[in-house]
Amino acid sequence: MYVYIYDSFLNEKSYDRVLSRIETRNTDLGINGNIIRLGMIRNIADIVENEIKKGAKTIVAVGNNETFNKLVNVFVKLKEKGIHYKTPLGFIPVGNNNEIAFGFGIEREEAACNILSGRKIEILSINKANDKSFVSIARIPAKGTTIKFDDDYLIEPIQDGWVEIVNETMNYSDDGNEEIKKESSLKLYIKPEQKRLSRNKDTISEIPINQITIYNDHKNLELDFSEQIKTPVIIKQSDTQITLITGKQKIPQ
Amino acid sequence: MFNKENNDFSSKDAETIIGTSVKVKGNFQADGNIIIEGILEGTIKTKGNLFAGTKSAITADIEANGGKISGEVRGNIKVDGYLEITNTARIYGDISAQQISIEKGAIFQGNCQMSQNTANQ
Repeated sequence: MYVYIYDSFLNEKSYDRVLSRIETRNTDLGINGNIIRLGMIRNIADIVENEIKKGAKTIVAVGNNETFNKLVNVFVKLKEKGIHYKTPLGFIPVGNNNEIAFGFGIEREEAACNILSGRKIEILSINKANDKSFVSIARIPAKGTTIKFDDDYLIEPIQDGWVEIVNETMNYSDDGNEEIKKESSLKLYIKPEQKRLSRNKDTISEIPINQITIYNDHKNLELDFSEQIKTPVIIKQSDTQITLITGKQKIPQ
Repeated sequence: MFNKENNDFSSKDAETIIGTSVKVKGNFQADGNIIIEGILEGTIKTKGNLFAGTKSAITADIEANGGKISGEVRGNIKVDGYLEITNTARIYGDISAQQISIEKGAIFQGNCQMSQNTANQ
C-alpha cells in the first residue's frame, strides 16, 4: 500500500490541478493509495509511524525540499527509536525548491510517478548535523566560516563563496531487500566565488571528512536546501541508513 | 598519478585539494595524494604524494612519499622517494629524499640529504 503525505502548502487552491494530474497518473500506474494532508496541528512522526505499523509498502513525500527533509528526519528518528522497517521513502516534487529531488534523478510532478512505479531503490547513509539529519548536502557561506577537524587542524576560507558538505555515498539495490554495507563518504568542498571578469578560475578545495565542527557567528548552516541551524554544528556520518526510490541519474538544473 | 617520467600531477587522483581560497592551520594528515594551492601553517604528513602549486605558501614541515614543489615552502621536506623542485619553487629549509631534481630558477636555501641507496648506485 502506498501512502502519500502532502505537505501543508499544497492545500492552496493553486495546486489542485497538478495534484489531480498526479493522482490520475498514480491510478493509471496502479500505485494509488492513501492520501494524508499535513496541516498545522498534525504530527508527521506519529502519522508515519502508524502507517508503517499498518503495513505501508511505500511512504511518499509530496512537496519540496522541506517536505523531503521532514520525512527523512522522521524516518531516522524511527530507526533511532528502535523501530525496524524496510519501507522505502518515495518523493514527488511539486513546484519550486526541489534541488534535492533533481539530485536523485527524480523529475517533477507526473514524471515522478513513473519513477515511483519503477521502484529503483537506493540505500542512503544518513549524516548528522548536531541532532538533525541530512541526506545530500549541508552548506554555509564561506565568509566568516571556520571548520575544525578534531583537535588537529582548522580550515578558514579566505574568499567569498560556499562551504559544502556533500554525501557521496550511493548504494544500489535492485529489490530493496538487501542492505548493502558500504563505508559512507562525506566530503568537504570549499567553492570560491568566481569573479566574472577574471580569467583565472580559483581551485575548489576538496577534503574527505569523518567528523568536523563548523563555526560562523553570523550565518546558519542549511541542510538539504531547507532547514537552517545555528552553529557550532558537529557534522558526522551515522550508521543509520534509509531506502529511497530514485531516478536513473541527476537532472541538470 | 605522479611519476618522474612524465612529471604529471593529476587532480583526479588527489584525495585532498587545498585550493587558493583556503588557509589551513595545524597538523594536517592524509593517506592519499595531496594538492596544495593555498596557505598552510603547521605540519603536513601523507602516505601519498604531495604537489605544492605555484600559488601555495606553506610554512610547515612536510613528510610524504613523493613530492613536487612549485610554490613557497618554509620548513623541512622529507620524502621517501622522488622530490622534484620546479623553477618557481622557493624552499627555505632542509630537504631529504632518495632522488632529487632542481630546475633552473628555483630558490633553495638549506641542507640536502639523500638516502644511502642512491649514493651507492
